Amino acid sequence: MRVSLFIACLSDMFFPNVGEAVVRLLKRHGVEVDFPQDQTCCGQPAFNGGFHSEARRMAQQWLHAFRHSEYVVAPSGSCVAMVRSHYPELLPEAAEVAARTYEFTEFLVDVLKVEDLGAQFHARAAYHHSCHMRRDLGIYRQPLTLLQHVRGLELVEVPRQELCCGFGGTFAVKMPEISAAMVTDKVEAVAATGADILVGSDSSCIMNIGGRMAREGRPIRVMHTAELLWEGVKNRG
Amino acid sequence: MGSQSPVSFQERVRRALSDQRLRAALAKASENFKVKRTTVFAEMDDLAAQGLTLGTRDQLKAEGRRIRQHVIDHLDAYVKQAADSIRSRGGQVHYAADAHDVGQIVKQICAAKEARTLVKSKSMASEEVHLNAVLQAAGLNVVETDLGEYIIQIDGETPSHLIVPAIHKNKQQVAETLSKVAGEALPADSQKLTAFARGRLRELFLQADIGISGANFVIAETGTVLLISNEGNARLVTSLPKTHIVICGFEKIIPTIEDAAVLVSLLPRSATGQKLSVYTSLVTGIPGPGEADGPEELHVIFLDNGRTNIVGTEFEETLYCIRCAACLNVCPVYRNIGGHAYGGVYSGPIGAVLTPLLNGLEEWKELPYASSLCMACYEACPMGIHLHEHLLNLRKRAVEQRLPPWYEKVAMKALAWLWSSPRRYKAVTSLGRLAQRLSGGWYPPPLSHWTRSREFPKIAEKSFRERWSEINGAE
Amino acid sequence: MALSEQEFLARIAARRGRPVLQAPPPRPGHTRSRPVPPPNMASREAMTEWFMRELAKLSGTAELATSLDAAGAAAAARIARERSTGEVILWDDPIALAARPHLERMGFVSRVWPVDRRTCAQAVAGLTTALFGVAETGSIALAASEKAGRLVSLLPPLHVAIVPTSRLLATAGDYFKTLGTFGKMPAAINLVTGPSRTADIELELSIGVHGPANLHVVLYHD
Repeated sequence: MRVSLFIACLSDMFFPNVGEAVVRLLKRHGVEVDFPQDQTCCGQPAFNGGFHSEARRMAQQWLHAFRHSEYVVAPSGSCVAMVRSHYPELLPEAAEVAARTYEFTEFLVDVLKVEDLGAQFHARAAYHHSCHMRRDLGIYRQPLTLLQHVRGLELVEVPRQELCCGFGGTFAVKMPEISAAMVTDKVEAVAATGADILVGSDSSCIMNIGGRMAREGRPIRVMHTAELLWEGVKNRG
Repeated sequence: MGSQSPVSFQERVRRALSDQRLRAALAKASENFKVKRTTVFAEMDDLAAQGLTLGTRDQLKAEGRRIRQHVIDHLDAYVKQAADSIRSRGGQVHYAADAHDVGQIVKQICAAKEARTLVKSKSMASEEVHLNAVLQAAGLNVVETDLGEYIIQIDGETPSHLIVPAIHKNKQQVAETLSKVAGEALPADSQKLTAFARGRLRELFLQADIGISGANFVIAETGTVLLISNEGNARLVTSLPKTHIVICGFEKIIPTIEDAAVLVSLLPRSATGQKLSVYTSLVTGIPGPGEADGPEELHVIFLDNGRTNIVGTEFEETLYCIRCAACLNVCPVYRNIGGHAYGGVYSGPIGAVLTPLLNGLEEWKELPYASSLCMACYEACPMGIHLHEHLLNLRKRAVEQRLPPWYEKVAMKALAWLWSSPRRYKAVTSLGRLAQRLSGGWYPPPLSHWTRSREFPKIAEKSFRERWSEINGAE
Repeated sequence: MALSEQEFLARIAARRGRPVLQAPPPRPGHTRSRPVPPPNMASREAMTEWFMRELAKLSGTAELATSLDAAGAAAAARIARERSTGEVILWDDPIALAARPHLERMGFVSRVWPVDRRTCAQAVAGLTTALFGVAETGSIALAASEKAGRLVSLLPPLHVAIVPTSRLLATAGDYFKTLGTFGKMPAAINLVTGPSRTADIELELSIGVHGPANLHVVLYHD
C-alpha cells in the first residue's frame, strides 16, 4: 500500500514534526509513503473568502500533485474537508482523487484498521475536536480511539467542547475581536480540565488555541495527535 | 428593514463584545436552550421507535423539507388556495410587495375602523417592515404584548434574541423599565414583574380596537392561521379586539393540517425544548353568526419584501426556515455578539444569510463573514438548511460584486499566484522565515490582527518539505 | 400601492419562468384517515395515565373521577380551593354543566356562556369540557362555538376542564390527523398544553402570564 502525504501548509511551515510523526507511524505499519513535491496549498483561505477563481487555481495545483496517488493522507481535518466537500464542485476533475483523500486518524482506524499503536505517554490530555473534522467529515470516534489506547494517557473532555475555537480560516483575521472572544472562552474551558496537554488533529485549531494560551502564559503543552502518538510509540521502545 | 443603523457593523460588534453582562446572559440562554432541545429530541426519537410520536427528528426533518420544497415549487398555487380558503370563511386577503405596502394597508384598516389602540403579539414579519414606527407616526397607539417585546418596546430597543427578546436585560433593568410605566418602583422579582405586566396589559387587551399577530403557518386547504405561543397574549390579541390583522411572509403557507403536524412537532422542540407550546391556536376565518366572542373582521396580509428574489435561486432553501432560533443558540459567534450586532430583525446564522438576501448584499456585506463556518447551525437546524453553504455562497457573490476591500482582493490574488507553484511557495517560506527573524515580533496586517490577542508561531528552521529527504531516508 | 392578487402571483410565477398555476398539484402518498392508536397505548387507562403524567410536568394538575357527576364535584372543589366565593363561567355544554349544582352548593355564582368580556375577566374560574385530550403532551383541545366561548378558558385566572377519557388521543400527530378529517374547521380551536408561562425575564420561569395561571383537568371514564 502506498500513500501520498499531503502535508498542508501550516504543518509544513510551522509544525514539521507533525509531518515526520505521520510518516514514521505509517511506515511502521507497512505503508509506503511518498511526498509529491508539487503540492502547495488546498486553497481553503481563498475559498472561504469567496474567491473561487483563486481557490480553483490552487486546487488545480493540488490535483496536479496528487493525480496519481492511490491514497492521499493529511494531518489536517480542515484541508481534507476542503478537498472532499468542496473540490467536486470547484474542480470536478479532482473528484476522484478527492474521494481517496483521508484525514490521518481516519486513515489509521478506518483503512489500516489500527487502533492500538502500542504507545505510552503519561499525562492528562484534553482533546480538541475541530469543527471541520467533526461536522463536515464526521470524524469523531477515530482520534479518541487511538488516544484511548495510549498507555498512561488520561484523556479528558473539554467543557462545551462543541463550541468552535474561533480560527475559521480568514475569520480569525477578518473578524479578529469575535475570534479573540471565542478563543479566550476555549482556553478557559481547556484550562478548567487541569490538562497538561492540549491535543488536536488540526494544526489550525491548535495553533489558534495554543497561540492564545501562550499569550496568557498558560503552561499547557500543545501537540498534534500524530506527534503525541509518535512520541508515545518512541517511549515504548 | 431597509437601511442599517448609522453605527457600523464593526462598532456594533465592539460594543457587544465589551458588554460582559450581555455575553454572560447569552451564554446562559444558549446553554439552557441547547440542553432542552437535545433532551426533548432524544426523547422523541425514543418514543418514535414505539410509535408514540409522529416520527424521529430525522424523519420529520426529511418530511418537513419535502413539504417546504413542494410549496416553493408551487407557491403561487398555494398562495391562491390559501387566499380562497380564507375568503370562504369570511376573511379578507391583502398583498404587500414591501414594507411600505404593509404600512399603507394597516393604516387603511385602522382608518376604516376608526381605531386608536392596537395590541400586537409577536410577529417577525411586522418587525421586518417597522410597522410599529409607521403606525405610531400616524398617531396610533401600538402596544407589544409579548412580555419580552413589551419590555423592549418601552425602552425603544430591538430584540436581542428571537425567542427571548429581552435576554440582554437583568431583573433589575427589567424592573427599572417597567417602573417607568408603573409610575412607582417595582421590585426586581420576575414573578411580580410578570404580574404587573399582566395587569397593565389586561386592560389594553379588553379595550383595544385592533389585534395584530403574525402567523407561524397558514394552512392553504382550510385558510387556517396557526399560532404557537406560551403566554396567552396571542389568544387575547386574536379573540378580544373586533378586528384581527395577520401579517406573514408568504413562505409560511403549508398545504394541509397534516403538514402542520410535522412542522409543529419540530418547532417548539427546536426552539425551547417543549413538545408543544402552551397554546397551539388554529384560527379559521371569522366566527359564525351565533358565536359571542372573537373578531368580526379578519385581514391576512401576505408579505413579499424580497422573498420572491430568493425563489428560484441557490438560496431557496433558506425559505424553509421555521424561525425556531435553534441556530442562534448553538452559534459561537451569536453567543458573543448577541442579536443587536447583526443590525437587522433576524440575527444569528439565519440572520447573517436572510438579511443580505432580503435587503441587499451590498449594504449587509459583513454579515456572511461573521462566521467561522463551524456548521453547528446546520447540525441544529430542524429543517436541515445548509446555512454554512449559504454563507459561503454569499461570500462568493460578494466577491463577484466586488464588495470586499481592494486590499483583500489584491492579497488573495497574490496568495493564489505565490502558492500555486511549489517554487514560489518555497520562496515564500524562506522569505517569511527571514522576515520573522528581522522583524522583532512585528507583523503587518492582516497578521497583526492575529497577534493582537495571540502569539504567532515561528516558521520552522527547516520546513517539512525541506526535511523530507532526511525523514524519508532515515528508515 | 399594495399589489393585486394577480400581480402578487405573477411575481412568483415569473421566478419559476411559467404562467401562474391555478391550483396545487395532487400529492401522491398523502392519505387522510382517522388515526389508530399504537397497540401499547390503545387502552384508555394507558392514555389517561400518560396524559396525567405529562400535564403534571408542566405545572398543570389532573385527576380521575369515577363519574361525570363526581367530575363535576371535583371541578367545583378545585375552584373552591382557589377562592371561597365569586363567579364561575361555564360553557353551555352538558359535561361542563355537570359542575353547576356543585358550584352553587358551594356558594359560587354560575354564569353560562354567552357572557360579556368584563364578567369573564372578573370571574374566579372558567369551566369547559374539551373536544379532545392528547396523552403525549397532556394537552386539551378547545373548539369555540356559540355555546363554547373562547374567553372562558382564557380570561379567568383558573381554567378547569372536564374531559371524558373516550376523547383522549394518543399523540399530537393523531390530533392533527383527526382535525384533517373534519369537514369544516371551527373558527377557533386551541390546543392548550398547561398553564400560561414565560421565561422572558432572565430565563426564570413564571407560570401565569396573560392566560390562566392554573389549569386543572378532571377526567372520567365514560
